[in-house]
Amino acid sequence: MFSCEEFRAELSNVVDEEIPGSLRRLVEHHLTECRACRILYDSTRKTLTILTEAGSFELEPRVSERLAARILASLKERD
Amino acid sequence: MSSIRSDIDRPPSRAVDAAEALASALASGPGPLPPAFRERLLRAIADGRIEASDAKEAALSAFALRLARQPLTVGAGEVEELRVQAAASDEEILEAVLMAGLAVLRRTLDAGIGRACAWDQEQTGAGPEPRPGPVQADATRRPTLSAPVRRPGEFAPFDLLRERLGFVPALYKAQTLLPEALESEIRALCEILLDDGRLPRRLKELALLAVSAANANTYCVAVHGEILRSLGVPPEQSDAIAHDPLRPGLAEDEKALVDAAVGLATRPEDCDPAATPESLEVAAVAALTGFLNTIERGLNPRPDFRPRRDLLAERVEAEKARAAAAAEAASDPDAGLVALAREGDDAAFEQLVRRHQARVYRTVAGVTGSPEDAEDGTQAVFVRVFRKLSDFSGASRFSTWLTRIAIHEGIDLLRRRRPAESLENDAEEPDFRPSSLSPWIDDPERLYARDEMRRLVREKLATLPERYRVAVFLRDIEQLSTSEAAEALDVPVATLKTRLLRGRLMMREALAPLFDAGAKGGRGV
Repeated sequence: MFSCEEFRAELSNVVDEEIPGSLRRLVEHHLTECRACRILYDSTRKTLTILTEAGSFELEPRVSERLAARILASLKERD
Repeated sequence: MSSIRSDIDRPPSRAVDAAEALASALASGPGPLPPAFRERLLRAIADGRIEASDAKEAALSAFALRLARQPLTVGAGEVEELRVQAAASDEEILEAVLMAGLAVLRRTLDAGIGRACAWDQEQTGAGPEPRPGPVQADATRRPTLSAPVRRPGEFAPFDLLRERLGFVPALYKAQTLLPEALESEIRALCEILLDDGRLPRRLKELALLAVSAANANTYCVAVHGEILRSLGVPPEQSDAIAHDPLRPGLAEDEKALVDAAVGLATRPEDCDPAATPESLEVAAVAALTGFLNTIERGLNPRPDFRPRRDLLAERVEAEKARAAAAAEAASDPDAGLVALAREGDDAAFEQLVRRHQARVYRTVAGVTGSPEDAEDGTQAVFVRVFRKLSDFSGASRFSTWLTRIAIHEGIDLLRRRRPAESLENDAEEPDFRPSSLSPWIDDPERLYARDEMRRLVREKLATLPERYRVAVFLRDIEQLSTSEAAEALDVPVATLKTRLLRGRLMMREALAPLFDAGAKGGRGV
């Protein structure tokens, strides 16, 4: 038997597709039987898509120029 | 480079004499291969060029050459090929294996006692080193040569092994087709390793273990680890001495002797000849170990004990990782600028700053969760990179190295800001139970404009405790692999995975109200 708790412990590996075949079959079987875990799996996968697509903090062009100047000035000071 | 001196100069050593006796017994003793061919075979191994009078000689020579020079590339099926395609008998194949072992024994011993070796002359000259093939790690390796069983009382050298070791290792059982050679080997084993000489048996066994570990010889490490256990050395201790270059638990002079054995076995051309009776004895142990490791690879004996580590599989993994990093580094678009910057070219360094400051800024901001800190952090990273540029080895891409430094800077900033919240030690984590479990809408990432979504993600991510936020940031936003993220944070992969799971579930929980398919007033649903 594969419990909801065991499923949650493997959730990260499941969404990363990093589980061995034998475990995958247990997981797939559990998902066909448990609606709550199916929702959890689906929404976690969607969360990952959102995180990946959101990307990171971007450096604005005007900050970028100022920052480069600051870095180079600080290196010259240390020479 | 070793200096060459005559045998008369060196102090007498019973162990070296025993190794020499084994070498001459194998080279000139009775055996199925004609002595002239054995000589050609040893010369072929030494200078890397095969001279053979027929197809069988050519096949046996090519096999022995690779077994001696690149033992890990020899696959399990090759003995069968010699038998079927070259019509070599099991006795002939066994003797070819012994010749490969003999070549390694001689080369190691020559380096140890400072005698010129044809092999090394070829290495420094123009002779071609055979192209290295992939390491073969077959899980199904099995003994491939026939070997008549010798029961207790039937073969005196085996009775001696039973008396001295308590058992006959499968490596020796696999050689009963050539009993004279086997007898010489077991005599040498006793005189070089099992008898106390200038050095105690325990230290010689440890040297053998460390050399076998350096040669990724899983079989010999398992056998001699067990033998050391019977001598009272716990397996954890012998493992540590075998694998850790610091050789924990050994006295300084013992460590020097073990290191000398490993040096002779792995880089004989760089070693100075032994000058003391103790180091000569160690040279004999290194030569014997090289012999045993080589013939083991050729004979595939069944393991006598379950190995504590699969060294061959580890070597295969390490080679893959090294090849991948080298391939990546070889295609490093920054290599030219880095080389110029290292020579003091300020304009080149300025270009590197402009090219990578956005990446560094993003990383510091992501790890700290604070764009305010990121400008100072980015400046600190480049100052550090400028000072440490000479440490950059080129083993990875410059941008990978830079990202690692940026992650560390971010973590340092976090620690300075909130030293109480540790990123290192996780308390026991109870199972995280999600509170909202309604289905989500399809394609939630399309519900908001990209900038709006980014703002939302950033806002929600900022509410996570640092250890979870950093794990999610590195893995899911910066797209590092699990092992890269774990390495950057100095935590085991298992810890990283635990934090990642918790962090992802927290993010899911935080975003759930926005994407609930059943929510009234949900945007556009």
